[in-house]
Amino acid sequence: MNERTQQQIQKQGKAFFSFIFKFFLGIVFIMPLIFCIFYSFKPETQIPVTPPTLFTKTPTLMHYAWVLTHMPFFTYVKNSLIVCFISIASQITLSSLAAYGFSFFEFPGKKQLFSVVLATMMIPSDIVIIMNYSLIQKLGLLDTYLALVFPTLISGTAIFMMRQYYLTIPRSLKDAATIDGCTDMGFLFKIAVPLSVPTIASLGLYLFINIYNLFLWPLLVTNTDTMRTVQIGISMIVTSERLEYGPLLAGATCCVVPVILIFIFGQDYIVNGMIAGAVKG
Amino acid sequence: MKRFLVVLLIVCLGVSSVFANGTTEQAAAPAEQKSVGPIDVYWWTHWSGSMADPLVKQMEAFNKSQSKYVVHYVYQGTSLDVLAKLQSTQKKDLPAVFTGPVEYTGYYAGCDFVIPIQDFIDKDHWDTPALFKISQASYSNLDGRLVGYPAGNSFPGMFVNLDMFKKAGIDPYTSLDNFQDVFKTVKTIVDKGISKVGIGFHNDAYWIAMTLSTQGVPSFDNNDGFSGKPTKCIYNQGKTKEAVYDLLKALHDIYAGGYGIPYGANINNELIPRFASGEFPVLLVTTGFFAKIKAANPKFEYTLLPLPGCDVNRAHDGVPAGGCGWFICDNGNKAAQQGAYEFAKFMSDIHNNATWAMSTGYLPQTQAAVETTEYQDFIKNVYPSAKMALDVQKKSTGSIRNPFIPIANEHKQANDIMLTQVTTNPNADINKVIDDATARLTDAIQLYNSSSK
Amino acid sequence: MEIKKKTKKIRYTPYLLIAPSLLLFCMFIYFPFVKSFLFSFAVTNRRGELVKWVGLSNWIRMLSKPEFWGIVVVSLKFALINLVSTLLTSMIFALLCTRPGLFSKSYQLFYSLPLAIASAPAAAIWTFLFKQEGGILNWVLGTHFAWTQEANTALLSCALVNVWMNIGASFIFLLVGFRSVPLEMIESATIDGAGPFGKTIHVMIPIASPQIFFVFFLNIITSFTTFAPIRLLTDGGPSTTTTTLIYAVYKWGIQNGRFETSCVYAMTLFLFIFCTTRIQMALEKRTVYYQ
Repeated sequence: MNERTQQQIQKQGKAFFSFIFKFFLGIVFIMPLIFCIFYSFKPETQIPVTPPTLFTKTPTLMHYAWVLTHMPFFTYVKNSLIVCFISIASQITLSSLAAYGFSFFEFPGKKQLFSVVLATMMIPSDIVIIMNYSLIQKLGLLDTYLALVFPTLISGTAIFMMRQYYLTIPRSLKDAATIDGCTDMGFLFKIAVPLSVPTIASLGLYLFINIYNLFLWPLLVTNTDTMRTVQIGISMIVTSERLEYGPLLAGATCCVVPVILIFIFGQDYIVNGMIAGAVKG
Repeated sequence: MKRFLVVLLIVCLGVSSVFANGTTEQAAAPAEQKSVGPIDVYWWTHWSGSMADPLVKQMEAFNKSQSKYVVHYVYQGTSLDVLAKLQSTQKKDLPAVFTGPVEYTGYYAGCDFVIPIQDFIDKDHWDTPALFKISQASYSNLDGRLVGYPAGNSFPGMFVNLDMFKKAGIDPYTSLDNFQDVFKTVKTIVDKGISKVGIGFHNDAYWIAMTLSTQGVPSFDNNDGFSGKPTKCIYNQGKTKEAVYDLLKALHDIYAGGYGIPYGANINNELIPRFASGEFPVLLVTTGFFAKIKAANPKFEYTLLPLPGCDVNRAHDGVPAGGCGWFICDNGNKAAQQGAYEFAKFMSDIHNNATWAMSTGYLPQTQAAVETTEYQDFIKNVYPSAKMALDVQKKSTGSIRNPFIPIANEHKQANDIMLTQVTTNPNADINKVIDDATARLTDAIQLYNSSSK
Repeated sequence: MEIKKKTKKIRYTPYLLIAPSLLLFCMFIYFPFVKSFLFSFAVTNRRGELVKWVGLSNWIRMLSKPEFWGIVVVSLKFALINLVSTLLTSMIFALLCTRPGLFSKSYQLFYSLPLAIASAPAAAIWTFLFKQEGGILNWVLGTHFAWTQEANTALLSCALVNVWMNIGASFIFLLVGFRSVPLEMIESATIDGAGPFGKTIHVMIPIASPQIFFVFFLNIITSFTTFAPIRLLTDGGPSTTTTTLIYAVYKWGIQNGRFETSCVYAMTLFLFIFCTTRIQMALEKRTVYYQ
């Protein structure tokens, strides 16, 4: 009896220490983020002081005030959100349609067309970004939302993810529906899409993180402050002629915290979405 | 099928509504504006923070002083970003005016998006206040017509910590004539234990070209572009080669010996605070950063010295012009362009000019502005070194100029690469560095020539 | 049971379903790609308009410049550092989390969190940490480097920021892979006397090889196309030590207005990505084990 409880205690002890180790390692890993958030509340004179301390006796909000008054931060956020919303809506719609076509139908050229879709994942948009910028220019679409969402209206990843899910819907379901008089599109809207809502949610969150974080493209296609996204706004602080680090950290915190919160609460969805796209079953 | 078409229609409507939404959101100046309401004049610049605040105030004063034009300040990132945007933006989306560096005048003169401001001056019969000779020369094209109008009159040089020089027993006014001297001087100060490191450099390579101009040697054939089109870079030939070699060798020695702060350190949040707190004796930067140094430490004892030459064979004809000017863009909107010209004219008012000079450390560009009471007080009580700088500028002959070349960007990049190669690699082969830079620049010129027929 | 789909008529439905997507792909991926390819054989003006065709001479001019090869070498170095560091670290993290335990979600969250941080704020944060005087990284390591300004450390700094941001995604994928290893396999390995190291190499990694393969693929592409950290931390670095192919595309296309040069770099970049993924696909058949 004693031996068993001893073993149990040992086991629990091991588990406890293992937890502490992994937890601590995790904290160390996200230390840069922690420093950023805590230091953004420190008065500027205390920021360059070493050894580094997280807490200060005189926390201040003046860096945040600076960020919010020296740049149209809320406009930036609004633009980022609008771009994300339009892109995500478009990607979900178009990828559902395309994935449906690829998974439930047989047609000549299906394999080739699907490889055309897959091939887009091998041509990262950064390679063609200059040419796209030229095109947007010539069409006179600079500083418009259309320009901002242009390269993210559809992606190979989205089609791939949705197709992965649709492949798991049994054909027999569709056959049964067809027999009941359901049209192809009816099946899509009444059955397939509602079934795929979890996948759509995952895809949406995953896309949100990626599109919110786009940098080079918004930098190129926006010239006016009122159309810039949050990332560009923050980068302007990085490159500007500032003497202080406080506003830099405050701006970074403002930019990062919303996404982190979404990530924390939507963790499971996001992970599921990423997995669905990754596993080549 | 029907359902599908409905969906497709909805998607198309959605996308096109974005389009429609977009154009109403467009904040850039439209091509032609009706004469109802004030005309928007967009001003693109890389100035921000304390450099821009006084200008923005004056811009607001301009807006208030008349009701025909409204000028908008738009920060576009670094000066490279501004240039990048200007180059690639379509005509109608260009701003009306931007502030660009004077050393790019050769580029602006030849590019298709800048209208020489002389056109506006002539039409207006504006009797421009007499600019300093070097400004007038540096902002003009080969026909002597002003391409841009000076906004800031900069003086690149070295701020030195008088206290440290005193402790080392060195006279700063005679010991920093050229970069060999600079090396010897900072070496002495550091070896004596007065400071841990000797010199910091502004992390922007404009001063390499200016040092060569100060030395009195051309960087490109055809007399730096002033006698016809340049076709190649001559860093590796003749007197220019000697000068470039001596300059790079001195920089290399400074860094190989550990006497320099790693090149690339940010001027605003590293070099200036450290210099102002008395950490090292020499900071190579322009006069425009004076106000920041003063703000970092009001009690700091310093003086400003002119840019050194490459070696003892340097010319003593003065210094080339530095700083930025107002350049008007060919954006197809004549009304906005006129507004930009009026704005530049307003900013050249001697009191506006003096105010901006006093709040940044840049120098005024006309003698009249210098002689305003406020600026005279400023020289006497706040920034005595300004007088030295102005004197050096006045004595400068117009022959010391920035090269007049269309590849200004590649020029600065190549200089930057040369500079970083010798300062970050103790085993750098200086001859090879020079040959690389020459090849790079010659290649850039040839590519430009072949693409601009 | 007769399945209605097998008709003799050509069904237009699937084509219509995929048409909008394909159209968009053509517009913003394939069309500019072909244009890039063509422009690399020409000379353009600063607005990106064609001036004249010069055929291969543009490529020959570029390939004969040592600067070009320098950039290729930097890209490969950067990709290698990124790949190895991301893979190793995320694998270690994933192995640590294989057995979900009490509150394991907390440290799982920590390991994947930087995934949610965009490159602009990440660059901002690390700019602060990389300071030479009084910078936190120097204090922690006891060093005195000017991380983003010295030639030896500039590339490492960019890689560090990039790896930090990307570990999260790789970690999640690998975690899924390792969690899918059936417990019986691990137990039978333990019974056979395998230690933790042996188990990892002989059981976990082979079973999770599809995910490892995918993470490889993902990291190759992202490491070749990393742009924002380089742009915000070093701007191409001291001389050209952090100019990768993608940065050269930006620098020559946007900053210098030389589109033809930019297109050559873009095509080279594509070639590298294409070749590495091809090699990877070929290796997949040999190394990946599907259950």
